Amino acid sequence: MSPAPVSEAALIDRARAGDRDAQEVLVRQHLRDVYRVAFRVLGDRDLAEDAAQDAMLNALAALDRFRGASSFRTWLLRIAMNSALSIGRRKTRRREIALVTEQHDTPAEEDAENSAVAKSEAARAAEQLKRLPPKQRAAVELRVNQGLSYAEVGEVLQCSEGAARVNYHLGIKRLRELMQ
Amino acid sequence: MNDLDCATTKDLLPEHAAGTLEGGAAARVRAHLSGCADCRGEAELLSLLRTDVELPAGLEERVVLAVRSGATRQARRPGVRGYAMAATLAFAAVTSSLIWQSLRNGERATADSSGAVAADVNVLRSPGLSALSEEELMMLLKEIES
Repeated sequence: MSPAPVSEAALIDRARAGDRDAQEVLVRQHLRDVYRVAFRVLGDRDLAEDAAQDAMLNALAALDRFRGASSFRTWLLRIAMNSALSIGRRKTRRREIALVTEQHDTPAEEDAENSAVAKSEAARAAEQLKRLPPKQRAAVELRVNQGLSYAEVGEVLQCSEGAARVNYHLGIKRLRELMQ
Repeated sequence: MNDLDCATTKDLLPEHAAGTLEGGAAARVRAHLSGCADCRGEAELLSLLRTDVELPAGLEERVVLAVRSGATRQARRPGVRGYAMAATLAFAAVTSSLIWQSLRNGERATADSSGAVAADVNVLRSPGLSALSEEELMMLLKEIES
């Protein structure tokens, strides 16, 4: 018989109390989303790794400050966003962030022509996404890939729901222009 | 009957792309897309954006190891950018926290001004943001965030 599923609230309580097993479960559940947001904001794998690791460790260390006003995931993504922006600001001061896509890092061995075209279009979209301002980029990522509502996007970006909505539409509009 | 307008359809496209729309709504979006090239173009863009971002090899284990070692704030990934960044992260975290707190406070203060509140409420009520030009959206954003 498999063990009964543990609710997220119970898991967070245990992690807050210092239970390393519970903290590990939270890492394994959420690190991918945290990394993904960081990568979309920074557009650089190494920097995104740093931001994701930093965000995850800082979040676990700051669990006392999580009051449950928003979902844990939204709270965590906000920390990831802050971490990515912070690292991005420092990096931008030193040099422009290199435009590196996931697709450039993997061997391009596509058999099916259609699949290759679709992949190159996706790579182009990912590339053009990096040309948007960070808030618009993040709003698009949070809405399209993380499935957040506008209100939740606003929580992560620490702006109003209306501003989140405008940022999303601006981002999509610009992206469509860039893709033409 | 195709009863959705473009603005409503575009607002639903992220959920449509994720496959999380309920049956009725999904069918209405599909019906709209079949007759609207503009919305179809946006739907295609969203599907391109829904590519998976692979978690770098070893990252999860490194973070877990850091958690297990109890070094939740100090642990850094060795060898990539070295430990210099770790030394500055604490400062950066405090700085970014202060900046964001300051922005939030500013936002709250802004929310007290009737013009900004009106702009924000209009944005929330308006189904037609996608119909605005980039310039109009920028002006709206400035009004909300000023």
